[in-house]
Amino acid sequence: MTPVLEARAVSRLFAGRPAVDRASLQLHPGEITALLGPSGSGKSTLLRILAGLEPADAGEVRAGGRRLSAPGLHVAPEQRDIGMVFQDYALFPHLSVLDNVAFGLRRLPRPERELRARGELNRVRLLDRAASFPNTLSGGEQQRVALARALARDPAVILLDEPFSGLDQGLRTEIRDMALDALRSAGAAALIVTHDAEDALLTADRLALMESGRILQTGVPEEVYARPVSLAAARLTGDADALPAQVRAGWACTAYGEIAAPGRPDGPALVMARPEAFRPAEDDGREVAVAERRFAGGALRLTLMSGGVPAHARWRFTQPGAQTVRVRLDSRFCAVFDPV
Amino acid sequence: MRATPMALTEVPAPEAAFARRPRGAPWTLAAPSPLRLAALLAAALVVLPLIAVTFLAFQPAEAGPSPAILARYAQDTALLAAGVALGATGLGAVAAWLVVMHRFPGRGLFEWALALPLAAPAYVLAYGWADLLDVAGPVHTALRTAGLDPNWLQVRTLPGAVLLLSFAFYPYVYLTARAAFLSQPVCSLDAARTLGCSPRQVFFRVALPLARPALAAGAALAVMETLADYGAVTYLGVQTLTTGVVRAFTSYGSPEVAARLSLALLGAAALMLWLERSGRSGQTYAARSGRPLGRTDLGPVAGAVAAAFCTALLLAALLIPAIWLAIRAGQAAPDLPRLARAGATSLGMAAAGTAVTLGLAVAIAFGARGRTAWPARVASLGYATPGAVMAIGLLAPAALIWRTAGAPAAGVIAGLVLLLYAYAARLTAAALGPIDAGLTRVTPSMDRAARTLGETEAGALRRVHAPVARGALWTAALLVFVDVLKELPATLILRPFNFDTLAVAASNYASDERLAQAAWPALLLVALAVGPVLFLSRRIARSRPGGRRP
Repeated sequence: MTPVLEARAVSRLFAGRPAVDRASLQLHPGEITALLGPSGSGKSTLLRILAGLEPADAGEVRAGGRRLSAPGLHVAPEQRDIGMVFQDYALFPHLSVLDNVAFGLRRLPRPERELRARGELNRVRLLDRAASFPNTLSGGEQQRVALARALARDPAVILLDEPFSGLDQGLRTEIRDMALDALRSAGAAALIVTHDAEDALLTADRLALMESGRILQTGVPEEVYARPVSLAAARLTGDADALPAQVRAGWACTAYGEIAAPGRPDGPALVMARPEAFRPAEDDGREVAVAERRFAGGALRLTLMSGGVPAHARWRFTQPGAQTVRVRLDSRFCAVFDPV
Repeated sequence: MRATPMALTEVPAPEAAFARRPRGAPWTLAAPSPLRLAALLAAALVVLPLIAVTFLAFQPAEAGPSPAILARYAQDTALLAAGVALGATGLGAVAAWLVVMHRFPGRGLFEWALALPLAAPAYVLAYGWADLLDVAGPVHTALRTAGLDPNWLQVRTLPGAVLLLSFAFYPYVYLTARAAFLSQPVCSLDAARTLGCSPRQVFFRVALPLARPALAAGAALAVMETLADYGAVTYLGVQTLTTGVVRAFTSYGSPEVAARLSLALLGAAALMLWLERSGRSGQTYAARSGRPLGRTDLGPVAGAVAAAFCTALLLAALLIPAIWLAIRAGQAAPDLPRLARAGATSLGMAAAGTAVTLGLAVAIAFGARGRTAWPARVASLGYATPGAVMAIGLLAPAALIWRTAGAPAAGVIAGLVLLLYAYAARLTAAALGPIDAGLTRVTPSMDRAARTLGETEAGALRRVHAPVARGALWTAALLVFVDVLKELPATLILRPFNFDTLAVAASNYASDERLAQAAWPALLLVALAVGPVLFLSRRIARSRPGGRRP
């Protein structure tokens, strides 16, 4: 499948330091890609480069056969057919909701423009607020108007900068689902930039991890979660413990048990283990100390201690008051890396 | 006459013309756009006359006032400026403190009415008061009849000028101080109370120190106005550097000497500008709190005193001189054709001057948007420049035009263009203040949203920036309109022969000691200016720092 928008080894320097460092990314029609990284990792800069709001110092941005950005070449944002939803929504305070959505539709004749804008508002279930002004809307409503405004031009690509970060926890799930429905029904390629692992895993068809200006890994979320390319990549998508290990004859031995490490030479290594990797075991497991036990509604959060190495597990149940538990490692939630 | 500066912007004038607007990452797609070029051009237009003045000052001069006289000018200017700084600051700060922090009869009315004296130029105040307190005037006559010695009551002295100009210019301090008191963090006032301060101690130990930068900024504006004043001090017979500039040119015919005096004025004005700027940046730590200020009830006695103080201020700074001038005007039949012509000229010049100035200010504000705004800083230099100095800087091209213009009509038109140039060069910064403040409502991402929605840079300005800042554009237009209406020295120096504005007509009548005749154009001028000033001061009174729409 040909990508509808593609970044090839794009770099951007701020004061001599790379904010984006040879980043490559492909967006496909009808697919939602999440770009996950901590704040300051360069993901918003990459987004702005794609939108044409920021030039590229090296590498190139292509749309189909067309070059959009390259050193010395810059197609203006208004000529890119790329929509964008801003973190602060950036609604125009002097225009009504309907006029905000119709802002980018000036080429259409008036009746058609209004019809289209109303259609988009309907898609985000805000048709009844068409005549309102942005300052009377809640945060979630503003976010949906911003989405409708970007979708109204029927762009080939739509970029969303931290679209859910301004919303409080209660509304977040509902609005996220509604936004995803709208995005999918529009059929554009979408790129969602976020620092929230849960948002990224839940929304994305494809996931890209970014840190220090670099893309660490790309793939489907399950794969990126379970098969991280590095400890840093693992920690972007969720909790992970680093267990010192010794590899002997294709097995990595840690304080919590052994997992298969086929093909890896003997010597020191590091085992990345998700909380799910620590399974309750019967007699076959290893007995470890429970250092702390916290109740978190659906699960218990256990801090385990074995051989001076702490680890974190999420279990449904333990024997109340038990000082030790028996665990074994589930290799599906582990990965073996070189020692640091 | 200069007037109505950045103080009259919507209240929490955020850094206004002087500093960068706080707006995140700079717009990095900076091809040298036509807008940017327009901003640079506008800044160059402002600074050109100042360069000309400097150049002219170092040319060999022929005759001029003696060094002793010049020293006298400088000394009186310094004394006058210092006196007005104290007087205007005292009056303005007390008025603002009363109106913002207390409840007393008429408070709501005084809140906006105390800004109204901005409609009356200082020279109109001088005409009214000096005539009322003249040796042959009604007050002196009454005192003599009562067997009292009236000779201590003299306005045509340096102390008299200090007092009159303090009345004329206190609104600048009032407006900046009011904004500062309104934006002071309520929580720190509350904290002071819980730490054992009485309300009086809260004022002296918290509120006043917090407002000090704003007071300094207001005082600097008042001093800038004082330095630039020509009409009032001339009528009161006080010699200052500005009257020296005008006299060096008109009596001695020496632009070089005028330019040298101008350099001294420019130095003082630059100092005031610096003071004003540092005062402004100091205002930023006044946090905006959502909670309204609690006003102290003053009780019947103190309330009556407060109301009396505000009433007296309004009487002295506007009503008494205006009413006396109206009485005097009744004693003479107006020269109606001349009055009508001067009125039409004033309105025409004010409208044209506003259009040109607003054009330049919009070019600078939009062109410099989101970047280091040095064109705005250059423009603020023009604002600090007294009108007489600006005119001297434009004399060289003016002389050239008079000499080379074949047809007189062409010369007149060129002269008018120069005059408009002088207005614009001086007032662009005054317009820039409110426009810049209005544009802070356009966030960088709104700008970018417009671009990703298919608008070009110019289209985004037209469809987003301009409509969002529309109210600010109106404010700026009214500010400039009133200022041009009141302008005197630059018009006196640069106007084509027989070209009278109301200000010029009033000044000419007054210098001929025909005060009853001067009262007509003076009052007409105030009548034309009071509408816009009323609108602006009501708008300011309604606005609350931090109470804006998102």
